[in-house]
Amino acid sequence: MPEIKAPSQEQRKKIKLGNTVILFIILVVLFALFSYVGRPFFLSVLNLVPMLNNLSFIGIVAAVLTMVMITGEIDFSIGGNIGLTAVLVAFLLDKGLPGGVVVILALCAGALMGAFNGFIVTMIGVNSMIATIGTMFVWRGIGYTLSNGESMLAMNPVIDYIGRGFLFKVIPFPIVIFIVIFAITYVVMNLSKWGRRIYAVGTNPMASYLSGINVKKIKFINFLFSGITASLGGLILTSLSAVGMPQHGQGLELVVISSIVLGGTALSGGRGEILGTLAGTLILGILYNFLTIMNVYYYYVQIVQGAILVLVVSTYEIRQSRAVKRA
Amino acid sequence: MFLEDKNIKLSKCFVRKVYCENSNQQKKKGCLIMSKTKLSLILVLVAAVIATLVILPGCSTSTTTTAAAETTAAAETTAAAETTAAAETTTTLPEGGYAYYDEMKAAAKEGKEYPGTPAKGFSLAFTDINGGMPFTNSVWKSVQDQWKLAGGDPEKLYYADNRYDATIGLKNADIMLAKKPNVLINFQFDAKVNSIISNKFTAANIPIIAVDVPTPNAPFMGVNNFKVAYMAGEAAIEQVEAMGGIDKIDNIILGQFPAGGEVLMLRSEGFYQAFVDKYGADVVDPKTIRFDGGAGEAEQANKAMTDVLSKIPNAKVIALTSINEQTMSGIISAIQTAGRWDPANWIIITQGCDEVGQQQLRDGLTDGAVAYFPEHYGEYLIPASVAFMNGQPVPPFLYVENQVITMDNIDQFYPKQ
Repeated sequence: MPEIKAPSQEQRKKIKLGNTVILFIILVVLFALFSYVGRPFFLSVLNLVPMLNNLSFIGIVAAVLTMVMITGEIDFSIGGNIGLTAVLVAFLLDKGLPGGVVVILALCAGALMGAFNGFIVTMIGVNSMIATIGTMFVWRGIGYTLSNGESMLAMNPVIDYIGRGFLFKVIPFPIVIFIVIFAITYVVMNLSKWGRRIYAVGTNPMASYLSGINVKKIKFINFLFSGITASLGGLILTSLSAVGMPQHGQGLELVVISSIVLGGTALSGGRGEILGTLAGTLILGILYNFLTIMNVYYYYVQIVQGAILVLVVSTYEIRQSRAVKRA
Repeated sequence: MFLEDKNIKLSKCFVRKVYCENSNQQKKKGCLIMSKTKLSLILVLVAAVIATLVILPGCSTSTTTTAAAETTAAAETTAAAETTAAAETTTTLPEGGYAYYDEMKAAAKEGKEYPGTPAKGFSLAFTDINGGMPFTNSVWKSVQDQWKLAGGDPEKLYYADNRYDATIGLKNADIMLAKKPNVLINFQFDAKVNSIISNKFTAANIPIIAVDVPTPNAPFMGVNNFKVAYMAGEAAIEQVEAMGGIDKIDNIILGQFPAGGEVLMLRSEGFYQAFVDKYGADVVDPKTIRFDGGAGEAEQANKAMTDVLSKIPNAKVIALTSINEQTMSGIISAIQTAGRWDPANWIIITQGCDEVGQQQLRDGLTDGAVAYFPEHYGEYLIPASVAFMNGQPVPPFLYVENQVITMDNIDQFYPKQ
């Protein structure tokens, strides 16, 4: 039986770079195709800007969740977190709190939710999938309780600005947050010790531990930030709709995880790229937008989105296994 | 001591190694690794910038005036729309009345081509509350048929499915806005979210027609929720009387959907009100149970009804209604699963009388259904749309005519195929 070796550093780098580059090529090709076929509607400011605006909260959550997933963990509670944040914002505004305070409290609530997930996973040792599916129901249940199942108006200048404001009267503010979060996560993952440790933990937690890396701390902090960014996503969604409702973010976890996996992040951890997640988010976003513009029924949209996800991820696996065989 | 030093060295080497593996900087000597201080400084700086951007522009009066005005207007209009939709209103009739709308409506009702092909050259957007259900399928088909009769180009009839999801609803509204239709037919489940949709379309000078759920600044087309629920209540009372009066009834159960807003709540509260008007609140209140049966899906209603049944283990004779027939399917299934099903003891009146409702009635699962005639929705929506397109006034409320359907008259309205 031939000996199977792990791919070398050079090979791994090529695979990773190749995946991200392929994704961006797919994105550019799709964009060009959609612009042509979907003319005159698709390639217009009136379409592209709101599309990015509506994608922003998905991208923000996806960027940080990528970090969680590279460590080999997962956070399914983001949808519940968004729902609870949305209700909390509306509830606190209804109580007369100033918008700025509500924003801070909402982000603190997100941090608490993230810290709770991190505690259960790292300190108690519960599998992150089970733990966060559980907390997803808990957060949403609290949201339903707080709002009595009803949607609540959430109107305040500060909250309005987060989702509907414009920086320099030109750039929609959610897009600014989207870019900033991606830039931060890119720097952290590619230019900092912290990012290297995240990859190390995902690649081999035991070796990382033996090398002196505080594995639990890294995972805990990733969950913490995942909670904060999910709340930020909830704030944007609340602002976009002007309503806090417990249903906000329902099913969003699957959309976000699909974007991340499409971006090349392995569910087993150790592999993934922030730029890949960016490309994955944009591909799924423009796909939905284009198909809706073309009057395609939602069932078909789901089929196409699912098929693309399976196709691209299968390609990754084939490339990975070929590289292993070559090694 | 030696071992500790060795561990630290190993740790540094490992981190450095993994870093080099995953970065593009391998060729650079030593692999650039930021110090903690630098990274912290960058993060603090970025956080400060975000905080400044979030708080300062949001609080300053100059940039928020428009937003505040928009939101206030939205709040006011939502409230106004909800109250007016719920109550009977008197509106000033425009000069000439609604002659144009009435003329188009007459053609629509007869299934004839509209005079003068009034939709020619125009575009219409339709956002569906939740595609793929018998009720919404009927509405959509009716809209398509009437659009053709009005001379509209099928290519210019835009469709998007809101999937009972406000987030998707907003996204779809933006996509429709990008297509610049002449009119939007907005069928979206959350009345409050409709405020934002209304703001966007009003700013773009695109008129909206709201279906079943109010939208600010838009004529309302659909059912008078209180009226249809009251009709259902009256139909149930007939059955109650036939069984020997209210004393024979253990419970009155209302499957509701609070997130759908106050107007949708009237669809079940009217049922309750009919009982109160007949027997008095002191008799009816102790028997009444309200539960959240969800947005119209059978599964959620099934789970909720299972919980309700476990709370009333001894109740046998029950009057029941819910927001639509999909939820009622789930509710009936829960009753059957619990072994509590006896058609003679359940008085069930449904809302809608779509294909599912008709089948439930024919199968003896329900006693009656208030028909909304979704297959006729287009007869109201398209005449109103073409009236807008041609600059003609549209009545503020376009209520469909309803009818209680029972086994006695179902073949008259829905002949067996």
